[in-house]
Amino acid sequence: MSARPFAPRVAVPLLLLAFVFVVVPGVLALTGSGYYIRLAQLTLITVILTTSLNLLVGTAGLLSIAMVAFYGIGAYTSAILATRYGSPFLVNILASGAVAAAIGFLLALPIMRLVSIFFAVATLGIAASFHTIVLNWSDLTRGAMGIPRIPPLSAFGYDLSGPFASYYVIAVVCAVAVGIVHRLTHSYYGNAVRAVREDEDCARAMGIGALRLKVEVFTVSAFFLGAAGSLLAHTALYISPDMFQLIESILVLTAIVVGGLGSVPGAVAGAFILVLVPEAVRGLGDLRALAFGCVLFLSILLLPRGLFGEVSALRLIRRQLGLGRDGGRGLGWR
Amino acid sequence: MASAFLEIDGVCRHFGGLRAVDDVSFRVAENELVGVIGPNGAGKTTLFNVVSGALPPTRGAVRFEGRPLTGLATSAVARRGVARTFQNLRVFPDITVFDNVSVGAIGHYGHSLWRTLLPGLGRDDSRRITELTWQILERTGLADHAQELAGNLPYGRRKYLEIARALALRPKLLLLDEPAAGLNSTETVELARFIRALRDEGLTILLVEHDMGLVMGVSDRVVVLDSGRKIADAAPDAVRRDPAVLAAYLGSEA
Amino acid sequence: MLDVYFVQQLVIGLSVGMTYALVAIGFTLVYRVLTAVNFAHGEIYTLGAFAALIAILSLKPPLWAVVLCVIAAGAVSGFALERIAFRPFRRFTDEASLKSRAVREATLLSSLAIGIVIREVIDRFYHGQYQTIPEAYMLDKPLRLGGVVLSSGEATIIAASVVLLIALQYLLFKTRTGIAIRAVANNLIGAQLSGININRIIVATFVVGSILGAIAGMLVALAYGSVYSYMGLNAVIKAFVAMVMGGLTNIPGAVAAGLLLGVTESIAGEVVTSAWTDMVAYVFLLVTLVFFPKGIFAWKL
Repeated sequence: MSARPFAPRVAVPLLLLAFVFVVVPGVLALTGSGYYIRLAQLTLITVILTTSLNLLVGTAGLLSIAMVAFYGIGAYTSAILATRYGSPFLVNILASGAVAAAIGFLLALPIMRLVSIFFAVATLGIAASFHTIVLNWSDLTRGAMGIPRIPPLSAFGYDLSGPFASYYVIAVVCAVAVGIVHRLTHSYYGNAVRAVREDEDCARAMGIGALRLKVEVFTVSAFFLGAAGSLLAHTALYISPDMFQLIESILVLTAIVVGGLGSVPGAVAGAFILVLVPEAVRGLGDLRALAFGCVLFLSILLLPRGLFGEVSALRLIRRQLGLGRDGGRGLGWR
Repeated sequence: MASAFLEIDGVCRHFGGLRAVDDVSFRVAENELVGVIGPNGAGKTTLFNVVSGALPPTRGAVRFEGRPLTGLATSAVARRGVARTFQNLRVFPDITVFDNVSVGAIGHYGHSLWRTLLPGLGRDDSRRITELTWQILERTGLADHAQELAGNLPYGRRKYLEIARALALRPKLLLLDEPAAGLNSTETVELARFIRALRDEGLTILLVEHDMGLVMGVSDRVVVLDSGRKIADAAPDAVRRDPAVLAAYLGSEA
Repeated sequence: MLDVYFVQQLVIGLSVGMTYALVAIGFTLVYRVLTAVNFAHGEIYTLGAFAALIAILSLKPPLWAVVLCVIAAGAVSGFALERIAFRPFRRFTDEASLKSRAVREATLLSSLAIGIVIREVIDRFYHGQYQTIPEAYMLDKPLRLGGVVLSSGEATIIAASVVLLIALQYLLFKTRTGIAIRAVANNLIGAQLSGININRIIVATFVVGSILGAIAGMLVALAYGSVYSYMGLNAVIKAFVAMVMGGLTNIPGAVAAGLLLGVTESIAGEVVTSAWTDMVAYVFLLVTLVFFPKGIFAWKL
């Protein structure tokens, strides 16, 4: 086995971390605008959403429209815990992730055996049910009125609600999420998941436990979606059923398709597009969904693998330059 | 009395009125290389699919190391130590040769979520999978192609890739589904030598094949099917001279 | 003796269920032929309703003319939809290419995208507000049929749906196009070998399904009076559930499922508040997927 070159494998993550934790806040501090900081926060939360969904849809090949349900479960869990029981943020975010993961696990078991279209339909039902439940179960969720006055971010007694403090909290959670998803996809575990995606029968014949893998991926994805929901609750300080409609699932799905299914950089790119494009067209009014419909359509037509899809020009270029190759490890799927 | 390594016991597989496999029984002893042949439509592929767990038998059972194999899910069959190849070559075309073979190794060592996430636990497995994969690549002569995309390999090499992937599962029993299909005579001879070598190294092999030359050349024993029934089960020389076998073949092909 | 009120709810439920069934048929036809889901089908329903609205407001024609406009609108939309969201993604019409995973995923997303675009464009035009059908055209006169009180709209829905189903049967079994559609749906290779032009049949399937969907939209608009950009969404989810309950490829099954759904929702509406009746569909979906993975009404055609 050849020695792995130090440079690309460790340098890239370090650069990214430096960018997110040092460069961006630095630039934001210079602009002095609360609006841009808020935008950066939103972008990072969206990165968590796209990365988690990409693990499920891109790497595992499970087309799921249920994202918004787990996001919402996380948000509502935190909001309810915080407003009713005064529980602190750190407990809330873990609870949100855990509750979303638990519900995800329980739902995944029955639906995972379904053929792909049925599976997608089931996830559609999950998202639709979530919205109906949250809208009508007023005792728990206050229904259409939503939950206001959610306590802002704080930890160990320190108030972390300031714009930069919040940014760092979100950035940390985002880094953890992306790091874990990256680890899963760039490992033999990821190979196994992709084998199931490419040819499930063949993977099974090779001793891979396909069902178990799919349920695991679904659960992990739900966990991070729930955690993102908690971040949303504690930064937006108000949540309502309106914020968790089916369209949100579809928008995030669009983002990862455009960014490139199955690749972590693709998910990040998708998140950026999802947040920044509406900002760019802000002058034209509330055209978010329309713009996205067009972007989705054009992207499917012209860039079937998305911007940073698993097999794309950029990857071939990177390979030529010797970047990101794993030497002897040879994990070819990116 | 030791139970046979692989026991095919009264297996029947019907499709509506068609008896694709009709009461076939035979045994494969450990470290034997048994070839199953027969004219077109004899039921070889159906029998293969029943043995490998892809199809349930209408009647009868398949036992491996004394325990029933029928009724097990495909992945359970693989984990018992029974690996198979596919006649129509199902390698994963868009990824490297290395990654293809690694799938078999992953099947062998398992894929644990926690061990992947928690650094301390996972490293060993990862290393072992890598080592096993390289080992198999060397054994099958694919080490030089490790970083190539499987889809770009020439057809003959892809055959070896398919076998390599199955070998990475470290199986006790290897099921080969028409391995010589599509190969020219030189390639077939080379493949025959390879399969024979695998058996010499201790593997038990059951092979379903159309090419008489390959089967007669490598097998310890040959089972002949015709119209779903077993008509011969003996050493290659005996089968070659068996009138029933000749009749079956003359009746349908050269 | 059956409680008259119960019977009334039943009949109302049947009319609602019929609309689900009409939309479900369009879905099912496309699925059978292409093994693809047309996520823009709900927007065809919406377009049917808006076509009726526009025809009424601009031309004030007699009712039968409105129907013709809607049929035309449905046919054109179906044709356009196929051209834009489905045709570009298929290069060959043999079975493997037509129904390959890549094509199915691409068309799923592309139809989703077009659906979003259509809905948003309608929203632009009408500023997201509900539109109402003028009183003169609304079918809301109460009818008394032996103690049961229905609106004429609901009765029309049931009657029209029955007529449409009969027409569909005729189309599928007695006309060349219809038989070709069934041939392609059942056995693509055989159909190709018989010289059937696959592309044309695909277009025909979309057109037929869209006409049904558009008429369903028109009927609902005329019966209940309001037209809005996302009316297709709700109908589509219910129709989807009906299709799944019917085993995805079974038209009579989808119709039966749609009716069951409508009736159950109607009766449930007496027990729980109307918002929760939406859950009926999701419960049916869950039950079907978990306990009847091949569909509840999935008898072999």
